[in-house]
Amino acid sequence: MTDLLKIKNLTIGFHNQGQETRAVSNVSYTIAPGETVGLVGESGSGKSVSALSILKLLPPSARISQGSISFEGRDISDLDSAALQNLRGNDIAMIFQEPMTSLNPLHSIEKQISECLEIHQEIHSDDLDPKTGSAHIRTRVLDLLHKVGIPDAEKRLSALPHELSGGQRQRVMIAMALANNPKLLIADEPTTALDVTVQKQILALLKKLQQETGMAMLLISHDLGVVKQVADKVCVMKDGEIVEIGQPQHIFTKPEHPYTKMLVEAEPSGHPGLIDEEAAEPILEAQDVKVWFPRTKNWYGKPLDYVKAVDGIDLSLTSGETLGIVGESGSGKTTLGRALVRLTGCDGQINFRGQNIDALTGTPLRNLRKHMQIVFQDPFGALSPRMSVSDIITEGLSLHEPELNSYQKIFKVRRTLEDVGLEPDSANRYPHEFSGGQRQRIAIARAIILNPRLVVLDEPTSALDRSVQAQIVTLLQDLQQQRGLSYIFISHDLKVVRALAHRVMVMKDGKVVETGTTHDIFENAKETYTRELISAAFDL
Amino acid sequence: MRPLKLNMSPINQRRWESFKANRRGLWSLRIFLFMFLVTLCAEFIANDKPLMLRYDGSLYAPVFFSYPETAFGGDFETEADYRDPYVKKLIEDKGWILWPPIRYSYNTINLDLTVSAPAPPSGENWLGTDDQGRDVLARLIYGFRISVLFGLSLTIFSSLIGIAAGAVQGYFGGWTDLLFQRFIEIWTSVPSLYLLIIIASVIEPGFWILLGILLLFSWVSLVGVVRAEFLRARNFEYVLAARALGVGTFTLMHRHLLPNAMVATLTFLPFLLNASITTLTSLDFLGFGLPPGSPSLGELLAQGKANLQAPWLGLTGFFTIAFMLSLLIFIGEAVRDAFDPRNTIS
Repeated sequence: MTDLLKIKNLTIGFHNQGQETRAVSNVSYTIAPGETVGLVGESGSGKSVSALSILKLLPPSARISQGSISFEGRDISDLDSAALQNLRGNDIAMIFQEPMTSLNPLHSIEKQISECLEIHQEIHSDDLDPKTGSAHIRTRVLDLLHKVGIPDAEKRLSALPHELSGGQRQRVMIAMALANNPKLLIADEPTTALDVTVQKQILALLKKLQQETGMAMLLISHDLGVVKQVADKVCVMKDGEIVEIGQPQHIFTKPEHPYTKMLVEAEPSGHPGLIDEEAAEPILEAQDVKVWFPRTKNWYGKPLDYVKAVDGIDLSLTSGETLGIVGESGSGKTTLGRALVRLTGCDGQINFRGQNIDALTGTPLRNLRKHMQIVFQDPFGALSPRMSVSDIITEGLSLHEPELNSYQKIFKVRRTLEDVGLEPDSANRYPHEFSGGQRQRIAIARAIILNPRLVVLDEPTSALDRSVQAQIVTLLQDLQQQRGLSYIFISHDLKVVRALAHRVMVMKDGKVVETGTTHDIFENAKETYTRELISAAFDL
Repeated sequence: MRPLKLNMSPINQRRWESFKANRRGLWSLRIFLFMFLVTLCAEFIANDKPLMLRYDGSLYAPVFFSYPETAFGGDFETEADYRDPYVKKLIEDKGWILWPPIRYSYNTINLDLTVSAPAPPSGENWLGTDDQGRDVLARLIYGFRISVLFGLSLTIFSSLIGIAAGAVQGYFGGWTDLLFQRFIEIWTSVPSLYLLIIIASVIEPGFWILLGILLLFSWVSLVGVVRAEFLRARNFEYVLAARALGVGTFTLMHRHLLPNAMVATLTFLPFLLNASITTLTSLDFLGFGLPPGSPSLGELLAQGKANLQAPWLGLTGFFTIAFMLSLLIFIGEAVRDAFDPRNTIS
């Protein structure tokens, strides 16, 4: 069997002001027709760059310094731009991570799919199908939409991208990629931006389509679970090099390279610490919390209709306890977390350490913030790029403990940095010098330096690589043990929740589906929705 | 300029490096700063009073102090006219005189012209004289200074007001924003030129009155950018994190949100400065600007238009304005490129 795609000794560097940064070095792999190859690695390992180079879609600063890429025996670097255009979309198609930005928001999905048909197959929109008499191209588009499983495809033709859900958008992207029966489909993190249940469906769809059409697939992902399910062959990349190639069964059961071992074992592990039942005091109690955003208003400005982001939620939390809030995107879990620490206005009653806080404003509320903190999802957005680490961490100290002199502040900052596992000397550096995981540690340091009683963790691990996730989870467990913190842990990632939470609350559409101890929820969930979530998360 | 680097954040250091890499912008900045510093000392370069003189064993500094003619053995109690050959002779008999390079101030009339004013360039008046016999080069130096100073003051004051207004609108949003925006729409539709003409007919506009009137309308130019930046950034996670720490509204706006808006604002500033200078020049050209007799580039242009037979007037005015505005545009472009996130963040 000849290889469809053959990459040999590929080396790519980025050139910036005379300096070369290696992104990919000496990478070789082959893809046979009909084969699925998974390319796995953490962020920055060069997996996307090596895939983009196949279609010559690299940014101008990148240069291939060595190696060759050949597709069906032809060297891609010899192709002129017309032949390359023909290759892209016709023989090789690509789908990207973020389906919202990959589709043009102003064009209907029919128009976007027919565009690739018109360009590559020279079918014109005014050609009529001899049999049905309707436009030939429309039948093709409908055909594709049926194939990727869009319900009510006829009605969806004129839909704009924002009217579709994330999963449906990704299905449309797949339809566009399949329009010209490519021989190779490059899928760059196709499911990363999607909820777990949708992720599972999309992977099943890709697998089904591959069996039907016999195309080869290059699946790029940071998630071993995704690759494990679909791939025939797995390449593990680290720092621009392939460290291990092998069958998935082999890689997952008997990894040889230490890095692969680390990846495979990097599941968030451990269990939440035990709560001292007697010393436990109630920290937070909330009754009937509602956050409604007005959707339409009448002429006088009186709201007629609401988006009920959080719709009547009760919860309670004792000291040293972690409550995990899980749900898919749009379930209102982030809004609930923000409402509980009074960053979003809400209705309902919230008691924090016995004090009613839902009506507090101004200075009393600001003073209370010492005791309740929040850590956000995106470690890049949560730290001001213009402030040094010590400025970021001391900001709260200067507000709530103004009696400290600068020497004492520096001492506290250094000790807190040590507590979160960072070098105390990093205090004088700026956020951009740190990796994602380190930044998340800085954000945690900012939250805990005030010795709060309650920390709301809003998806603190979902922007991080698996191995870093595990480290952050361990850090959070340790901090809880040492300081007796209470966490509200918001996440869509059930594996992380299982490692951290004492109790779990499952949310859907702003309402509670099910609450219970972690054990109860994971072992014998009562609601089908919960069971679907769990199976999607753990079967991947 | 090296000490600047010490307390700059890495991002600003990279911006400064990227600004320096733009050679045209860097040289424009150097030339402009040089010209500005030189013209700031206009009194020491072009003046009808000596910088220093020695008379009868003691030193005098007529640039700073006024001495009566009698101090040098003259007849009048009024301030000595050092250009008067009689006074000059009196002093030089008993000492020496140190003149500035150009022996004319902006309002000195050359009474020794051999041709009728405007006189063409000569060894005495390097760029000729205007139609009242005043030295063009001296007026140019003073005019450049007043233009830049006026432009700078107008830019600084209107950015202060504009940033504050934009910040309040963007941060609070909602009704504050809505009402303010409608107010600005109405306010900008007031024809400022007519207002200026009406006011100029009632009171004689000096530097500060003119500045005040123009300020009434120029502050709106920055509001839009700053407002947009505040609207965008107020939901950033680091701003939310600061709110969750209990940071007060004012600190939040000035420590966390303003730096975001500063990028857009600083990019705008050189162009605002340009517009301010052009406004003053055009008002002076039309005769609604600074009081008669003040040195100004616009007035020089107006004289050039009235005296087409004396091309040195129009040409000097044209080249000076074109040169100054080009320098500022080059600086502005370099600043804009330096602040472009694609250059600094990647």
